[in-house]
Amino acid sequence: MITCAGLTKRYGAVVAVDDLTVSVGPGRVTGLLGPNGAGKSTLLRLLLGLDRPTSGRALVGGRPYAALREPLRVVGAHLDQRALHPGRSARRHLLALARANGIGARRVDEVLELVGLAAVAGRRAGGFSLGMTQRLGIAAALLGDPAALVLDEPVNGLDTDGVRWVRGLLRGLAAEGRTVLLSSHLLAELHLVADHVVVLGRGRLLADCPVGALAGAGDAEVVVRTPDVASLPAFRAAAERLGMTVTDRSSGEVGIRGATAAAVGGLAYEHGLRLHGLAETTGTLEDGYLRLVGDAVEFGVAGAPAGGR
Amino acid sequence: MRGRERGPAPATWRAAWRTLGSEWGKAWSVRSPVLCLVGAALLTVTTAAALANDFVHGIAIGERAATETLPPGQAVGPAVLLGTTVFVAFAMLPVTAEYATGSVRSTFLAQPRRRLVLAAKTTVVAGGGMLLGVVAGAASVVAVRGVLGVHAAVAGTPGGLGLKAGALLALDAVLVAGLASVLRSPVGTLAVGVTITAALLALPDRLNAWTPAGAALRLIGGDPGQYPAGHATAVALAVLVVWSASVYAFGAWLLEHRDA
Repeated sequence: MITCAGLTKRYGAVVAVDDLTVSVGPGRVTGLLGPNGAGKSTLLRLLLGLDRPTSGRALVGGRPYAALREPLRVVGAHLDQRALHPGRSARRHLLALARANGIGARRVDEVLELVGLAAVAGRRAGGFSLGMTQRLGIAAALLGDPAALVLDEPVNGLDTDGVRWVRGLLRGLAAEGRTVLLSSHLLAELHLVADHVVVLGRGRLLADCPVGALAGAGDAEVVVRTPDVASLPAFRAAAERLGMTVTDRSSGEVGIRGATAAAVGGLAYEHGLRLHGLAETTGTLEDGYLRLVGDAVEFGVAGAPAGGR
Repeated sequence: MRGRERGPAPATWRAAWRTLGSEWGKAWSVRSPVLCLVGAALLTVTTAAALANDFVHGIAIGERAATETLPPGQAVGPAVLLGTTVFVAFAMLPVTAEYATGSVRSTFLAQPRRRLVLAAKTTVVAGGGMLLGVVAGAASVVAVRGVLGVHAAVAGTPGGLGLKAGALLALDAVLVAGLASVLRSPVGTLAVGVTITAALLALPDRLNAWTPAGAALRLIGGDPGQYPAGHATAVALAVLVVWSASVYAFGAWLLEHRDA
């Protein structure tokens, strides 16, 4: 369990994290979201004792990180793929971390095998690709077989196979009852792997809810495509009389909210509207996130859509 | 409520031993520290031999009397001081390289008790300094005596001067490790470190006597200068200890209280 209570971090006049109270529970993958400058990285650094909070508390397993005697056995973290000496081999990098926590060399070899770096363990880390460096960072996080994991953008630079591997790994770790906190800008990927999301904006908590609740926060949309463009206005008027919201998407194509695909299909049939397409689109995490961030803090670039597609 | 109301877990001998093992392994798992030590040793010995050769050459060309002798310490002292300029690079590496590469975050994740981390790093470089000082100091005395031949004064044995050079470099290592924790930057630490441990010798004698550079020369060179006669070694060591302990304490305090 990871908990923050009234956590605040100021850098001069800038408030990076503002009176944040949130808990990250075990047995699920929790995604940490927010625009650039929202305070995600600062929050992770505060959790891991790298930065000192201005006020409030950040606890891992009920204790501040700095109070953990063998921290790698409690929480494994991968914050920055550059957090290693380029002249040191992957194995020696992990050995140094392991020694500080009383972890044996056998475990180092195990995690190298697990992340697929056993064959290059003796090579200097500076020669690794971004994907290999990510794998090495994940290996370091797994060294102590910890009950909690904190990962910042772990799939950046990984190939498709690597992304799938990380996805499976995180799901498996959560299924074992571990706490997994994952920060990522890849919302589609987070949608696939996370059960729960915590959304920050300007250092404040914007949402703390299941992924489904954020993704489905807006109405699902039914997309209608027809070659009978001339008949579309009458169909549109009928739909709006029934309380549906109709938006133009392109010539011969409209999006309808406030009704199921069956209801829209039935209405089209009643009006003799020939259909070439009738598809119900469910909300995505990206839709829900952009809607939330756009509505709550208006961080979007001028002219860019903030509220979904 | 003030952050981090529960401070770092108390350091235990086991934690200290593990951290030392970790830092020891890190220090020798890259090439730079070994290159710095070898470079410092070669520079010290060759400089000492060159200074001795200058003395002998002075006699050969009649600048000096044929009966004149040179205490080996007077050649070894400046040579060790020059070698210190390379040794500073070795002493700062465990701290500055980690800040430069970002690996300090991995280190603090594995061991959040930062004073323990700095103590372990300092122990490694102080040990390296002691070893370098003893070996290079003794080797320099042997080289100087070999070059001087009959012009070598009796005072200054390889063992005695080697031990003094070892103590000097160990104390310099403590100072530089503390300084690196204050400045973090490799270039800044090298510049300030070399200035404090060697270049302050350029100050007038009455001032440089109370700097690490001046104390180093008086410790090894044998000329007590402003120090009380008969107590030059003790006073020189005291000056070095005060400087090293002060800078180290400030560095350790900053390391603990600053964001990583």
